[in-house]
Amino acid sequence: MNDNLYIVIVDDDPAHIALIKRALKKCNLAKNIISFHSGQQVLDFVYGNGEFNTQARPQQILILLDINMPGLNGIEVLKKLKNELTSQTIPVIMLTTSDDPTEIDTCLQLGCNAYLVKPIEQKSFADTIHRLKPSLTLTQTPHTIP
Amino acid sequence: MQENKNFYKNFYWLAGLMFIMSLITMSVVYAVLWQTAINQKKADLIHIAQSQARLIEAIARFDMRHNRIDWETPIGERGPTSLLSERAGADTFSQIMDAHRHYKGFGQTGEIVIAGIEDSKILFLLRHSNQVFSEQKSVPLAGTLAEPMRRALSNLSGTMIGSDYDGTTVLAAYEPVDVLNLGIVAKIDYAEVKAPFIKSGLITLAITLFIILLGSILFRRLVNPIVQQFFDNEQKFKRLVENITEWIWEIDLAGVITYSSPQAEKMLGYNIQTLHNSDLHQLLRTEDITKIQSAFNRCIAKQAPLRSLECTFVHRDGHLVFLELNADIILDTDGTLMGFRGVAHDISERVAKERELRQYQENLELRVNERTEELEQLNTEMRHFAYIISHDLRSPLVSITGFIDELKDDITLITDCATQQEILTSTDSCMSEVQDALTVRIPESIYYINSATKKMNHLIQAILTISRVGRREFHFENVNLNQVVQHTLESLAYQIEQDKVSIEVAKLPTIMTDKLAMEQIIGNLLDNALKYLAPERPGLISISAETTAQKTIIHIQDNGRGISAKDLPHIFELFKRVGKQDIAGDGMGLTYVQTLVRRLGGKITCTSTLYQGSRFSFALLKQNQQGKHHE
Repeated sequence: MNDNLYIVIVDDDPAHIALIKRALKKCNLAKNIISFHSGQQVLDFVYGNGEFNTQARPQQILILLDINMPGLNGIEVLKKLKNELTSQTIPVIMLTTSDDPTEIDTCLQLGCNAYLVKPIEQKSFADTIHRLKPSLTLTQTPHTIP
Repeated sequence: MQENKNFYKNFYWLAGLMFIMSLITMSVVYAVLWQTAINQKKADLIHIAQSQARLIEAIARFDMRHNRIDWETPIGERGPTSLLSERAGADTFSQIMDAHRHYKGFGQTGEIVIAGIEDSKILFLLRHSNQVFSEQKSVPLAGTLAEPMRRALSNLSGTMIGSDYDGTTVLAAYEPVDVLNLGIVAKIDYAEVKAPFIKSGLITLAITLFIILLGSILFRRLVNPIVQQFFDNEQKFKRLVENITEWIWEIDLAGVITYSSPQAEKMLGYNIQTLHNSDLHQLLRTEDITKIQSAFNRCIAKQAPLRSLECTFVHRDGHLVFLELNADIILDTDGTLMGFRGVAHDISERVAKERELRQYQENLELRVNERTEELEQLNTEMRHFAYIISHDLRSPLVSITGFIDELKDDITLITDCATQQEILTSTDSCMSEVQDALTVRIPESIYYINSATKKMNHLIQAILTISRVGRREFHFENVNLNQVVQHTLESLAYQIEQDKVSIEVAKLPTIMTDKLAMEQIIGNLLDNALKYLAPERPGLISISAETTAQKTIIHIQDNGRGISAKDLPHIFELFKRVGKQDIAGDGMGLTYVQTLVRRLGGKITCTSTLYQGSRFSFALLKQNQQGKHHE
């Protein structure tokens, strides 16, 4: 297992985070898990803003992103991540309750790497994570902390 | 009735005039007649005087030849008595006297007078009025009496009107008698000459007066009914013109008012006297002057009447008056254009009402627009709300489902572990309770929680699906409905074959609509028709269409189990499933169809008879097929 890989869960519902964590554990990925409750927090984390401006961001991350959140929603976060050069290579898996085709379409167009609908189906979840994982090694340092 | 009196006043004047004219004519005729009669009389008198004079002269000359006349002694000196007996000439004169003794004169007063001059007097020798031959009379030579004799003795000849020896005015002819130096006068009283003329004049005058009077009375009698009728008619028309609400007017070519009915005062505030001879254009609002002028010009050019021209006039007090004009050209007898005659109808009230109505309409439109906007906003909000709600509801449901699964795993783990350790097999009553909980009650609880969450998930899914209909954007294109039906039937081919269902498809039109929506609508309806066929008879489904000017209606009819009248009103309600619940369904197919049809601007209805079949018809408005759709 890649010890440098950090999995970032973004969800406003703690129960969902707990469930995702359990699912990750089943995939043997329980080690480096960071969770955020809002879109703004994850952006701060990725770009080293706000409370994160003093610490270095882990080099290899994978983001599990919910859509329906108060404040910045998942789609806005995805748009930002995929538009910025420093973050566009980070794999983003949309993990949300919505199976609205227009939303799936939007996310795919914006460049999400996978779209999974809750409740988590363990097998496809594991497959997706493992499929996206190898590219992580190629991820460059997105930014240096000022 | 004033006119009536005036008419008769004129009539009496006419009668008077006629009388005066007759009188003048009569006078002229009489004057001419009089002149003629006088001249005739004068000629007669001259003839008498001259013939007498010549006769006397002839006798005197005869006597002179035979020396029977004393020429030496003047007549005056011979003395009254000596004339006949003693003097020469007396013989002659006595013959004449004798002759005249048997002459009665002429007319009533006509007489012949012979006189000579004696002692500066005129001595009358012979007068035979009243047969007074012997009684001699003399008048002074200088004086006004016996003027005709004076002229005869002055050796003059002629006629005149003058006084005779008595002072009576006479018409006389005078003639000198040469040989005897006498004068002869034939005379008649002027009054006698005049008398017949005066008499006949008076009679004629009386007759004329009588005839004129009679004529007047007759004329009045005859003319009176005609005049009465004439005045009655005039009164009738006058009353009509003055009492109708319309203003009647006439103008000349310059626009000057030549007639105005009294309504003008009511309509425009000007009295008729003021309006008469004033310019019609000055009564109009400035903006309307060219309008009416061009209308009149068109009227002249086309020789056609002016119809329903709406013009704005200005009342004397300044407020606007809306009048509708109808007019016609006035031609004189030669066909020359003289002006216009027309009727104006006050439409101010109508105009005000129309304005009010327009305002009301505008307000209404504004309100409808506002309300529509509000409704549209509300609708959007509602759909958004449904979407948000379903998402937000789904999130805890996902948690529940997830954790139930976790619990299930954990229970399995515990059970397996306990089984391995043979904990649960002990005879301890407490443990047997635990075993019961682990193996029966907890799995049962989990099962029911699971099925409840599944059901809830399903409901939320349904709400989401419906709300998505409102979110999807339609793409309008020409859709061949026959093709749509064909595709749907192909996807249902297995079931159709299995159940031996006959399908009849009529010729369907190609319409401008959203293809996917059409597939979903027709698909759902055909699926339903197949699902709810009556098993006891061969299934028959027919698809047809009818087209009107505004809409296309598609009918899908089956001979299936039908819907009861009680259930029919509820079939389009969400999650509502009616009738026998023997066939799987989610209770949202028809709701979905209805939402789609409505969004396409259409309407869906169903008629059905229980145990006989149903017919679903949806109508799509043609005007809404051009891309307008409800959000």
